[in-house]
Amino acid sequence: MIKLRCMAIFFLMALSCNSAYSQLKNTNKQTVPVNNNGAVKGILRDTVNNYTLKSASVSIYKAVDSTLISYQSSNNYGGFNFINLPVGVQLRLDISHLGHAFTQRKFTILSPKNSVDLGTIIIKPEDINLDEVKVTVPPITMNGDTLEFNAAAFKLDSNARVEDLLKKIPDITIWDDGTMTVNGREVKNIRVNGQTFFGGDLRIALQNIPKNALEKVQVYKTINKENPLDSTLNVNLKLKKGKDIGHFGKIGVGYGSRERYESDANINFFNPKMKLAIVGASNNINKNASSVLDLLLNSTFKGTGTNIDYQSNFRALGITRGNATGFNYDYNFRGKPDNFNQKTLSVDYFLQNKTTDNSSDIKSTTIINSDNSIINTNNTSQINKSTNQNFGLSYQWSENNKSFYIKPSFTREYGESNNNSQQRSTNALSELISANNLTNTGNFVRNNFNLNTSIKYPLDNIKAKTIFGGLNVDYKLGVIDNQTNYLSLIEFISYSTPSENKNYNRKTAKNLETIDQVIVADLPGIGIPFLQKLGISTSLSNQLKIRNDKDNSVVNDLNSATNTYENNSYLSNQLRTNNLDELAELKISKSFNRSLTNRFSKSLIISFSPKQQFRTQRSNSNKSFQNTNSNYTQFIPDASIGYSNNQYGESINRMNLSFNTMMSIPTIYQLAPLVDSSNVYSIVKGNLNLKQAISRSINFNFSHDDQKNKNTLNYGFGGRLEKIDNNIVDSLSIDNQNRRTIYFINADGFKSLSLNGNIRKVQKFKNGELQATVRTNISTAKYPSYINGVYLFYKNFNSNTTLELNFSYKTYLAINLSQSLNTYLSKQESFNSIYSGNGKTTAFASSLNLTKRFTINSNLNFNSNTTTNSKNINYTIWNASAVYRMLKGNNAEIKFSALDILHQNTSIINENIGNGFRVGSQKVLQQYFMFTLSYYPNQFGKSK
Amino acid sequence: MNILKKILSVTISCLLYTALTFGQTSKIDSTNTRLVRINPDKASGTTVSQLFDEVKFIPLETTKESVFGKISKLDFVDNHFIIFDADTYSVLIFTNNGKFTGKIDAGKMAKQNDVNDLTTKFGGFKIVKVLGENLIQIEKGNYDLYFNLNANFVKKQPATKRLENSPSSITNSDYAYKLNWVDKSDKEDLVYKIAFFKKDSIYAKFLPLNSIKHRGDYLPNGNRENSDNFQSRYFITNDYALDIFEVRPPGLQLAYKISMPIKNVLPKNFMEDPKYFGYLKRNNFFKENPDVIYALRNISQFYDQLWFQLSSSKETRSFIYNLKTNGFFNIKNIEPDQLSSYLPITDEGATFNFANYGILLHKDQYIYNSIPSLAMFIFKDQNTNKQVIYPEALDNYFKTENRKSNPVIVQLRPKQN
Repeated sequence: MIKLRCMAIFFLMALSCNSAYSQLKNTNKQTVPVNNNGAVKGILRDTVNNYTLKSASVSIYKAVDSTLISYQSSNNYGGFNFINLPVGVQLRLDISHLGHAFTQRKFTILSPKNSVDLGTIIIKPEDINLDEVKVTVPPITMNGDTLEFNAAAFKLDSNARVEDLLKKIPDITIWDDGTMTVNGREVKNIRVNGQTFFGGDLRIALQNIPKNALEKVQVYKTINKENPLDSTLNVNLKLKKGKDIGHFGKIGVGYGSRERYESDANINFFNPKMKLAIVGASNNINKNASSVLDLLLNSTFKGTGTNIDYQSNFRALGITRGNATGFNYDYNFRGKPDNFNQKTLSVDYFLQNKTTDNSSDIKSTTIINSDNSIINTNNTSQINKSTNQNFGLSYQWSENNKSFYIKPSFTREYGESNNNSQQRSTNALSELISANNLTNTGNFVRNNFNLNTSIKYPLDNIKAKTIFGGLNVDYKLGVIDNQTNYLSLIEFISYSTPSENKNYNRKTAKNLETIDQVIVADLPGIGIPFLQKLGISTSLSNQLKIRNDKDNSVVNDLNSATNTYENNSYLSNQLRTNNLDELAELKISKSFNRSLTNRFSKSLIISFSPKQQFRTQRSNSNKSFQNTNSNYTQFIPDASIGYSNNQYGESINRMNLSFNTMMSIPTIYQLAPLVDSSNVYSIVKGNLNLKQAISRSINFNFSHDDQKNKNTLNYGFGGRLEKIDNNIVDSLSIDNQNRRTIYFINADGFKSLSLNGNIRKVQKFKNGELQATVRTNISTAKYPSYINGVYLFYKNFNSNTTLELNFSYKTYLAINLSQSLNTYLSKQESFNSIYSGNGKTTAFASSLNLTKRFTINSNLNFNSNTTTNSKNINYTIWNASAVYRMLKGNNAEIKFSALDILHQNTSIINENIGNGFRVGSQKVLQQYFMFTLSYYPNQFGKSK
Repeated sequence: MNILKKILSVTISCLLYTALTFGQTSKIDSTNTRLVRINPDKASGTTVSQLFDEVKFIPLETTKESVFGKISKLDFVDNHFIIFDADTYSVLIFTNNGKFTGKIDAGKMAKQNDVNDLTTKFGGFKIVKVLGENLIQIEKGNYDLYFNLNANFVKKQPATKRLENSPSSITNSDYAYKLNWVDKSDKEDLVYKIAFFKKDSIYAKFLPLNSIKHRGDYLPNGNRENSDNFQSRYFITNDYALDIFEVRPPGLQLAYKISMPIKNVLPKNFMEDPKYFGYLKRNNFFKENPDVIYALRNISQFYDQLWFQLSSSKETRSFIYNLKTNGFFNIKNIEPDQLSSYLPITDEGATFNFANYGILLHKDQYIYNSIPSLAMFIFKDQNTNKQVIYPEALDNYFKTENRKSNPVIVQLRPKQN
């Protein structure tokens, strides 16, 4: 297996490198051999006003085709000094400075030994510029606090997108997960001309907007008022004048082997006032979009550079045939919106219907004592059909730190399902003990109305002469009406005691109505003079939740003698539950700051939040044992310590340690459920004596953000330790026929510890970039439980580690290599048993632009799974595609895809289930070949 | 047309001052006002040796004890630099060669100060002469604490009664003054830019601002006050105006009026039209008009050199106007030469000390300024292609210190002609 893996990687790498080399050779044939050891220096001087020119933009281009080679600002003595320049090629030096005439010089570095000294270059003040020089913009400028990258300075293919431009800028890194960092810091918001662009995901803007429509990329910080040490990095894409009106989108159809098909269409119109996206898609290859944004993300134009291909989800369970359509409309009322001043209205609608065909074959092993375990094999098949409609409105207003929004939405979902399950249980000696066959057919209708609204009204309490720092109020309303009807045919066979065989033919009609309301009121920054003197700030918060549930069930069983359905008076029921949850919080915090100008700034914030929670739960039912009235009250304090250390120009380290308390109360379905004895393998019984569970946790995290200009190294790690008292756990009673009865009881002793870490490093080369990422999560937990009256603990240990390397070379080649390892280990000390398993995946993906229009993509995934007492499972998924772009603007695309070429895809289940483990497989998408034609309309600016 | 506008504006301003002198406001002397005409975008450059006779860089010793942030207040007495650092709330003392000799910090003061003042903060220091000895006086709680130049405690005494907001006083004057004085007897809540007091009672008040109408319109930084000024001249400016007043207790003299191109000047009705009232409206106006100068600050005069700063939303720039030759220089464009070991004389272009605070001190024919070590090392690294021989102290500093060391004091002696 390993041999095959190595050979395949070697083969693909060799192919990629060979092609890239031949492409380079072809490119270089047209020019002289390149030696990049040249250097040039000089000093800029305004002789009219008698001073040297500081901070002027100095850029070097190839004279022949204006390709940007390098840029810098003149230093405090007006000097500049470039190294690593090509020798023997005519170069052009462009100098620009506000208030001065644009100046150009041409020169050639003859040999690496002869670095060129241009001496003092005289720069004239702007108003006496008489020469006719074609003015070019500098690549980078500082405009107040905003860093600006000017698109025109970067020469790219006419079909390049903004993403291609950003990949050219040394200060910017686009990561494979879609995040963008500028000098190591992550960009949190991206806007286009000050507005959110079709949902705000940066890929929609970066992969659709042509580089030629862009004037500049503006990078700026916004300070978080609550925590001034925390600032957010934002990017605004400023379009060229007149380019803020147009349309873009995609229309594509594809057909392939095994009757696989896909079609999608989206067209998006925009102007300074509004944005309208209309989408539609239909396929049977598990490309399931759940929103308008999803569809937009999967059909971006993409640029001329390399991108790892978007493909079907080969890991999704079952095979889904789906159709979707919808629209999204945004209207902006403000002329020049920015981060703090917005007034927008959004309307969206999404309709989706899908049919999912799924089947699985799973073997579960449950340890019941040190000598015995029960093995359950379950073959299921399901066909689910559903139609989902969602209509939403959103009005947002913000001005001068005050804000208001209201978002009503309505969802209607209806459909039908058909599930079959055949379970067989054997004991440790492989003797068949029982079987259960279940067929469930039914339909459902769910209506859901939500309303979210929020007002934030900050006050400057010094100016307003009040102790209140403002008021924030959030209100949420959810109204749910859920109707379900289903017919269950259940057959339980006991092989040891045939008299216990059971058959059910049951019709159930359930109607669940819920009204859920949450109101949160905050009084931030209360100015209590006595505490303010001590540097202590305070805030008050109150959260009130009210929830009313009506659960009406009508259950009828077939009387086989009369062949009619008769009411099951026990399971037919009307249950009303009213929940009230009141949480009052006082937050007290004190911050300590220490800074030395131009060196560092350190901050320590200690906060303590005493909170008192009151909960009541009242149930009213036809069944008297369900008439409960429970009151719970609990003091749930939180506390935290935050520390940040900003060493200017070097790094920012942040650390946070917090202690949190949470109360969870038993539901009526845990206190006093109706016992449905037809569900033989899982009979749930209640416990009226259940108490509230209290979770106490300690969370810790640390992050290191590199502040250097390039080749940044960022890392972080964190952990969580949790202990739950009175945890509500299962007390499982398994009889010798694998019939399981679950009681809920309170038990102490739950403990868990999880740790996570990540490292991210980027290394830029002259013509390429390497990104390396390592992520790891480790968790261990100790669960208390009862099995057949024996109190026991089982301990779990899970880990997940991924190493990923991404390499890109110019616009020709992108390679992604990743290795992931998942492990689990389960230990039941009482039964003296240990189970463990692991899954490894090695993935190799590459994309190679053979010509400007022709790209080949290939990716290989080697999967290997091992489990205690079970055979190893290994499989490989290999996908490849060839893409050809046509027409002047690269608007048309022909694509041939071959997916799961080796026909090995299988969805393996290999997991820990507390006191046992499950292994098996489920139905997934397998090999197909597809031919796709797509057209990308894309116009920024009015048509000529 | 422009000239007509300027003449009109000068006339209107003069009329306005005259009008304001009626009623309660005292009269400003505008008999010797000089008009200074400048174009901030057309300032020239010059060399260090054209402006100064002497330039000395004095690195301040960095030890665990002496490390501090920035110089918030500087004085120079008996060959010692006295520095107040608002980052660490301490007063540090260095010799004229930069050798650290002592520190007065919160811990030292707590020992001497038994008042219930829990914070470590204090507002700076004053040098006072007691029995012929220069002492450092620090106001802390209800006491004035006195330390000698070795940072040793000398005495404490109950704080003298101070006028509200602790006004400074000008030496050799019977009058105390206070900036931004609120006239509580006034129904309109008038705030006066400056008011003079004689024996704690109001004597004269100048430059009123209606604080109800203009709530939140004050500028964040006023002028740096120097208790001991070069040639004992002290200048102030009014918010959103281009007039420079010399404080001559108990009166004001309109010394200079700055005239600039129309694109740099505020609209005439800026203080009257409600569309410009309030911080946000003003902020938006300045954002949309980045060339408009909204503040004239940090005025000093050294012989014929008038130093000042102009702020727009785009940047704060520092200038020197030669009153004799009418030469107009941007301090950023003063070219280093041999006199300054080819090093800039301010931190402009690297950090923002000078842009934010201007000159730290002018005393006994010298101007004092400071450059953070971060900036010093940037300048040194950019100087590598020149064969510079630094003076010994500076050479040692570059060899043994780093970007995180204490700032370097720059001592400049301006030319008299």
